[in-house]
Amino acid sequence: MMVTYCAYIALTIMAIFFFVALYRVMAGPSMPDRMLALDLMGSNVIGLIIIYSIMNSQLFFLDVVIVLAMLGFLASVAFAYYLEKKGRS
Amino acid sequence: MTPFVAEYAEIIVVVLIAAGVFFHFVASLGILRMPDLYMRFSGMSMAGTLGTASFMIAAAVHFANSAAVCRAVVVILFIFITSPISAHILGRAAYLSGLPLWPKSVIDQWKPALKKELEEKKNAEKEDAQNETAVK
Repeated sequence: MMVTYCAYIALTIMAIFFFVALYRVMAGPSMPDRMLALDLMGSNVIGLIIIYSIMNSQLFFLDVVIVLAMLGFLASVAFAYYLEKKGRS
Repeated sequence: MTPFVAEYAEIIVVVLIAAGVFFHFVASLGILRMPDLYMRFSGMSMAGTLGTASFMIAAAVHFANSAAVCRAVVVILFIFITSPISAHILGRAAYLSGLPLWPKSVIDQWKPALKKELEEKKNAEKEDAQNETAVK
């Protein structure tokens, strides 16, 4: 029971942090800023999914976490590659 | 699971979730308030990693199952390896694309080394061109 209440509170707070990162995506002065904020948003979504999985005692949501972690890493590496090529030429 | 751990599992899960939320709070504060991209990296990369790791340990303690523990170990290892790499690679790309540091920054250690490297490259190209003309 205690875990459920704690999970509700944690979900609310994590949603607020998600919107903080979204503010940085919209207002970020440069492109790497936006990409960094997107990375943090991915991390927030991973946290939300884990808390949801604990709340409902559903184990298979943890597979989604693995896939999301890999996708976030691939996205930031691809963007960094593109930015470096563009900056040097 | 031994009874001792089962008795206190709820408390451990709650404490770990609270720790994860705190680390994510630090990351969000860093990304909101830091004046510079490179400082934002240092705040967000480490705190976000630790937050996700504590959530994953909380899940492992809650399920108390070999499947959950395996997934937790895989995710934590993967995140601990890839998160510093992605932060480093993004910061490097941002620096090479010419993003300026915060005006009040005290030291920029890479600038002289990078300048030297570029000059050496230019000199090597010049020598190559001279050698080619000499051969002709």
